[in-house]
Amino acid sequence: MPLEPTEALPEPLPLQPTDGDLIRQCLDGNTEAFRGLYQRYQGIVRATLHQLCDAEALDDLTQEVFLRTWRGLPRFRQSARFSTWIYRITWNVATDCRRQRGRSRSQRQGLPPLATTDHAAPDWLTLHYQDLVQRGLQQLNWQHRSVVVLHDLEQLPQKEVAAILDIPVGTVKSRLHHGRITLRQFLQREGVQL
Amino acid sequence: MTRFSEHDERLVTFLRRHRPVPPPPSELEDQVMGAIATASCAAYSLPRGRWRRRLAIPALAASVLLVWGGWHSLQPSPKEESQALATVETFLADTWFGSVYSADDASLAAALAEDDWLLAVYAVPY
Repeated sequence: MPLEPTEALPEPLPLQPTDGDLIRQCLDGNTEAFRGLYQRYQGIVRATLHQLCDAEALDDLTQEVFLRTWRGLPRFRQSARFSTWIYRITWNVATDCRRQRGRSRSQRQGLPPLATTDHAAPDWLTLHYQDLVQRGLQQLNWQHRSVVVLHDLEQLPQKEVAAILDIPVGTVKSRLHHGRITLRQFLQREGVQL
Repeated sequence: MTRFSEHDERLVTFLRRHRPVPPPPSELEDQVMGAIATASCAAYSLPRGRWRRRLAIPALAASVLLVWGGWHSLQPSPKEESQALATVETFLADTWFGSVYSADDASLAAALAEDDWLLAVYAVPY
């Protein structure tokens, strides 16, 4: 029986360096390794900042997060999860930003510019709903907003949210409950049927 | 993962579907890497600099203490100083009596109290 030509095995994918690998390289002075961390996490950092602080100075805030991350790397405990740590830094930067701008923002409740994707302009209904969600988040107090953004939008487990905010899981649940009530009431007032 | 009630699930689905999308970054990666490169020396050499500063102050304090302690250990105490002075005075008096008077007169003067040695000079006939 003739041997059938075997299908060529797919090339094994090159192993992606883990966060730990990249961190070790950074600590050895390899700044290019930090680019890997940046590319891996800039999306979630940016989205979280946008949901917590709106669109104002988003680039500056993102840069601040990564600068703090870089400076803090020597003190980062390898046993901890890097994602939790960078979420924590992001939340700290957002909190600082909120403190600095809190008063001026409360005086001018202007709407943030609506974001559009590069590829296709979303239809007006999508823009309207995005605007509603953004305004709904602005209705929440800071504690409720942080929990709703991290859990409901960033889809982090409650345990991780508790670790990031340094609060008990029970408090996360409570804030989530109250935050959702406020959001639901706001959206229903705006005519959204949930 | 957390389980939602049906009520919450509709809300969360709506939020996720219409979550605010951040505007795309404009060459932020290069800016961040540039800032990192600038900060890299300062960030990672800062702890060493801090350690140097932290070590310099105790080292300076220890040096001052050493100099002060050494100076004091070399300085004689007042008690030692008065004892040394008394010894010198006794030696001078003994030498003077021994050179001027006979052995008996000298022993008389030496037997007198320390403060009376001057009186003894006049008590003894020339």
